[in-house]
Amino acid sequence: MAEVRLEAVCKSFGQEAVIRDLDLTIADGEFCVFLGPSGCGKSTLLRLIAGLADVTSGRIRIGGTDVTELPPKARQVAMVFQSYALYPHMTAYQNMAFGLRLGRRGRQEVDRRVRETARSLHIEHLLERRPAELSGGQQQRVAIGRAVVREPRVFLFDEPLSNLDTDLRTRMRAEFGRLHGRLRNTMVYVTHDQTEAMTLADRLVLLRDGNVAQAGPPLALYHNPESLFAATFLGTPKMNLIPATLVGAEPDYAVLGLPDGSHHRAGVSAAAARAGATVTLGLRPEAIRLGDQGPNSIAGRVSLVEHLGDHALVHVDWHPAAGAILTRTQGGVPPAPGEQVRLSYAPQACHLFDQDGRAFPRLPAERGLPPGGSD
Amino acid sequence: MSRGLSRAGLYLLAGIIALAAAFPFYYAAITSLKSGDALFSMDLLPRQWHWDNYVAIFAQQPFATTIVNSFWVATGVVSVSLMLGLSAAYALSRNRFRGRRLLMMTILGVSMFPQVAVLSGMFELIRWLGLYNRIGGLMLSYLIITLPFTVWVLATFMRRLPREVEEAAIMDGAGPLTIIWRIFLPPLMPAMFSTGLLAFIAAWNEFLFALTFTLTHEQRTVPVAIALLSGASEYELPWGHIMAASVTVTVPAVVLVLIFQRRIVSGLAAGTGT
Repeated sequence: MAEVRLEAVCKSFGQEAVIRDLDLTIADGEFCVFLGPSGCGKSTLLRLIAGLADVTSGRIRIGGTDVTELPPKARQVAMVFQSYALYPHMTAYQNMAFGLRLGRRGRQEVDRRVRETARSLHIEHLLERRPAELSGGQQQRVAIGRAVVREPRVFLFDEPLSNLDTDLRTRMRAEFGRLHGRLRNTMVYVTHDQTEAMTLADRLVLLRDGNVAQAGPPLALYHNPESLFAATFLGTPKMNLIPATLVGAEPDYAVLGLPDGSHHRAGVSAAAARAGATVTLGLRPEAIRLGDQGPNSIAGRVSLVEHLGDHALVHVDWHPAAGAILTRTQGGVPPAPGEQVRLSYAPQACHLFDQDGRAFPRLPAERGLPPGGSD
Repeated sequence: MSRGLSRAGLYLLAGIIALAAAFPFYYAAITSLKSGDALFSMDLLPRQWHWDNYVAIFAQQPFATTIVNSFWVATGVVSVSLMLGLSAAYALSRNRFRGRRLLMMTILGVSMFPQVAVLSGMFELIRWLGLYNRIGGLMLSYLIITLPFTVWVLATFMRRLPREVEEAAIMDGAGPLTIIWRIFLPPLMPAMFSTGLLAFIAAWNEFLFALTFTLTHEQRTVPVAIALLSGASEYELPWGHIMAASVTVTVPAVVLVLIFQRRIVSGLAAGTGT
C-alpha cells in the first residue's frame, strides 16, 4: 500500500518532450485512471512509475521513498501489459511463480501463494496450461494473477482490456473494479477508453500533450470540465459546440447571442469576460430536449435519426454557420428525417468556454438539473 | 494433363538434383570397399566387400585420435559460439545503443574476408597466445568463421520475441542473464539447434586453419589427416584409404543432421514467422 507522488517529472526522447513538468499525487489505495488521446504520454508515464523508463528530470516517490534511481524490482510494483506478455514456454503456474522464485521464496510459500491467488481469480483449473492453450480472457486473468501474487505496493495496468472483444471487455472491466474493492491497493490504470475510465476511476487524470489537463473524480470532470478539451473528450456522443457571442453577464446567468440572432440564457458566471466576446456554448446531447420549453429554444430540421434501441440520436440542422446539433431522445417516438422540430435546453445545462478554450464557472442549479460534482 | 506433366517435370528435376548431390558420396562409399586395381575400374555397384581400407586407416596411423580431436574442437566451437552468440544477439537485438548498426555490419564484414587473408595474422596471434599446435588454437580461430552467422541468426530470431515479455520479466525482478537463460533461450531452442549444427559442420570440415596451426599427427583434425594420408610410395595416392576415411568422418555429421532434423525444420519454419 503506498502513495505515488510525481514531482516535476519531465521525459524526452531525443528532442521530443513527451512528459512536461508534471506534478501528480496518487493517494494510497486510490484507483487512478490515466486517460487521454494517443500520444498524450499516458503509457510513458506508467513506464516511468514502473521503472521501465528513466525520467529526464524530476522525482518519483512511492510510499514516501524516492524510487527515481531504483530499478523496477526494487520499487515493489507489478504491471499488467496490453499484450499480457506471458512467458510462452511456461505454464500458468510457472508464469505466476517466476517472480516469487526469483525473489528466493521457499517452494512451499510460492506454491501456497500461487494457489491462493489462482483460487481468488478462478483460474485454478488453468494452472497447468501454457499461454497458447488459453483464451484471451484466460490469459488476461493469468497476467493479473502474475501481478497479484507478488503482493506489490502499486499495480500498474497498461491498457489491459484493449485486446479483448466487447463482451469480454465489459465483464473484465467489472472484474478490475472488484479486484480493487478486494485488494484496496493503489492502482494506476492507463486507457484511451472513456467508459473504462469513467466506470473504474476513483480519480481520473486526463492527460494532454504530456501534462495533466484535468484531474478529479470522473463525475466532476464530466459535469465541470475546465477546458474545451476535457469537455469534448469525455462523453459519448460528444458535446455539441455552438459558436456564440457574449451579450451580457448577470450575476447568476449570462446572455448569449446565437448565430441565428436569438438570445439565450446560460447558467454560468461570465463576469470575467467583456460583452461582445466570442465564446463557445457547449451542450451535451442528453441535455437537449425535443419541444419548446423555457427560454432557450432552437428551430431546425431533422437530417438523420440513429435508433439505438432504448434511445435514439437525432441530428438537427438549424443554421448554416453552425454544425448540426446532436440530441439524444429517451423513450417516445423520435421525429422522422425532414421533420421540422424545436429543441430546447435549460440554462443550467450550459457549458461556456472562452476563446482559449477555458471554461467559465458553472453556477450551481437552484432546482431541476443535477449540480455536478464539487471540485 | 499439363498438371501431370509439370508434376513429372518437378520430380525429374528433384531426381537430378538429388543424384548430383548424392552420387559423389555414393561413389566414395563404394570406392572405399575396393582394393588394388579394382580402384581404377568404373563400377556403379560394388563387386566385392573389402573392409581392409577401414582397418588400415586405424591401424597404420592415429586416426582415432584425429577423430577425437575433431570432435572436441567442433564441440568446443559450438558451445562457445552459441554462448557468445546468444549474449551478443541479446545485446544487439534488444538494446539500442550508439554504433549498434556499425557493429552488426562489422560482424558481417568479418565473415566476408577469405580465410587466406587472415591466415598470417591469425598465425601470429595464436603463436603469441601459445596455442600453436594445440586444439585450443583451432577452436579460437574457428570462432571467426562461426560467430558471425551465429550472432546474426540468433539476433534475427531474438528480435521477433515481444518486447513486453522481456519487460514483464524485468518487472518480475529478472536480470539480463536470467532473461537470456530463462525467458529467451527456450523459445530460441530451434534456432540454437540450427546454428549449432551449422557451426559444428563448419568446424568439423575446416581445413586451411587446421593445416596451418597444427604440426604433429596427435593434434591434427580429420580433414588434414585425410589430406596427408600417404601411400606405400610417394608416387602412390591411397584412394582406398582416403575414401574409407572420408566415409568414416561423414557419418557423424549425417547422424547429427538426422537426429536434429525435426528441430531444425521447426526452427526454419519459426524463422519465417509462421
